[in-house]
Parts: sequence; structure tokens; C-alpha cells
Amino acid sequence: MDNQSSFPGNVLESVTSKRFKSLAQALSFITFFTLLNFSLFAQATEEKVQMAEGLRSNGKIYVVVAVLLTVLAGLIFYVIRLDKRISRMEQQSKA
Amino acid sequence: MKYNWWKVLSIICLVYAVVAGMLLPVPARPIVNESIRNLYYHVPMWFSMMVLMTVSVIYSILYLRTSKLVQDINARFFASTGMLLGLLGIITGAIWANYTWGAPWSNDIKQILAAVALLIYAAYFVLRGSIEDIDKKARVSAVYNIFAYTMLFPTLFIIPRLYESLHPGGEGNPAISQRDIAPIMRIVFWPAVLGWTLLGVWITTLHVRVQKLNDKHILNG
Repeated sequence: MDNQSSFPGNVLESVTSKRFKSLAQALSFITFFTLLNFSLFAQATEEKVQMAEGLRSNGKIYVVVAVLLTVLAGLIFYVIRLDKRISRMEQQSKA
Repeated sequence: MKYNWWKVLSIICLVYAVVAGMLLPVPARPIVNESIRNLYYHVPMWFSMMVLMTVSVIYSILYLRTSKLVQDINARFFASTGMLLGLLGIITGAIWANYTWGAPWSNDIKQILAAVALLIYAAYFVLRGSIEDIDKKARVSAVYNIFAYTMLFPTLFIIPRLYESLHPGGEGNPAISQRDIAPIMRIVFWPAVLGWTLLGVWITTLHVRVQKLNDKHILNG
């Protein structure tokens, strides 16, 4: 940032003295404001919290849902099977 | 299989919690980002643990009043399923903390005291294992269970509110109060709590039924 603003100033100063000094000042003034603008812009984007928009727009979130449902289905299937087996044992012990 | 409406309800709630919890919009917050959805899976562990521990202590009190061994079996397995949910709560919390607080364990007051509460319950099972006589085991552990349950209140609810915590909502009732949880999240959160609680009850009843078969000669004789 410093190099950018001082570089044209040095070159111009070496060519002539008076007029370009003010131009260099004007240039640095402009660069300062553009940089300020940039930093403000950066702050504005930082405030926007990043969420999984990419994941959502690509539709890949459904893959996660599918995996989770598979795990859940397996777990529930297992519990149901246990339940059935215990019921059978209970019937046998009654008989 | 014993068909019960609440088993079906449990499955419906759990499937709904996964689908809606992943797909419905959530509020955008810094630091947590999409991991805010963990509220649907991490917090219900603790809520359902609380419910199961409450049922467990009720059975313990019933045992002390009636001396029926069935009630001791119930108290034991409700506590053990509750313990499982508590452990899952601690583990899921550590995973979540790793990506939001920067470390799986940051000695947060709620982390420490949740661990203390679980250790107190761990002692319940150690105590059970150390007594041979069935009736003495049932009575002593029932009394201890009342102590362990009472300790849940200072460790999980009172002391964490007195200190600063990384957990949100310490100023009020976390996850219950109006301010802490966005309305859109509540329609997934509460069914998730119900679903996990009922699944916990379901697993517990399986354990109890096996134990009843095992102890048939004692229970009937």
C-alpha cells in the first residue's frame, strides 16, 4: 500500500518539482480512499455469516440426509429385531 | 414384538428430526454457522437423559416403598440408558466444541460438571456390582440413586448458572427460554427430544424384559 502511493510520487517528483507534488498528493488521496472503501467492503462481507449455501445449491445435503437416515434405519431395525426376539423368548418362557 | 403406539411415534420423530433438522432453514450465526443444527442432536441427549434419570429415581423410590424387585430392575436399566445418553451428550459436545470453541475440552463449567454428574452415576453401577445380596443391593443402590439424582440439579442446573460458561443461555433456561432458541428451531428440537426419549425408553424396556426373564425364578418365587 505504501509502495503504491510513494512510487508514482517519487517518479513524478524527479521529473518536475511543483506541479506534480500536488498530483502525487492527489494520487495518494485517491488510493487512500479506494483502500478505505475496500476495507469497508471487506467488513461488510465478513458480517454476513457463512452458511452451507454451496452444499445446498449443489443438492449434496440430500446425500447427508440419506446417510443419516440409513444409520437411523439400521439402528431402529436392530432394536425392532431385538424386541421381536425378546417377545419370542417371553412366549417360550410362558409356555 | 410388542406393538406400541409410542414406538411408532419415536421412529416418526427421529426420522423427522433428521430430515427437517438437516433441510429446514436455521438462523445464520457467526462461529457456529451450520453447526447450529447440532442443537437438534446434541441437546436432546441431555434432555432425554434427564427424563430417563427421573423415571429411574421414581422406580427407586417405589422400590423402597414396596420392596418389589421388578422396580429395582427398572430403576437400574433406566439409569443405564440415561448414562448412555449422557455419555453421547458429552462426546457429541466435545466434537461440537472442537470446531466452535477451538478445543474438544476447554474446562467449561458445564463440561466439568456434566462429567461430575456422569461420574456420580458411574458410582451407582460400581455400587451395584459390589453387593452380592440381591435385596441389599437393591435397597442400597435405590438410596444411592436418590442421592445421584439429587446431585444432577446442582451439577447441571444450579452451579453452571453461577459461573461464566462458553455454553449459551446461562442467564436463563438454555434451550427452553424464548430468547435462546429461534421459533423455526423449536419445531424440530422438541420432536427430536421426544423421539430420543422414547427410543431410550424402548431400549430400556428391552433390557428390563431380558432381566425379568433371567430373574424369573426370583421374581415369581
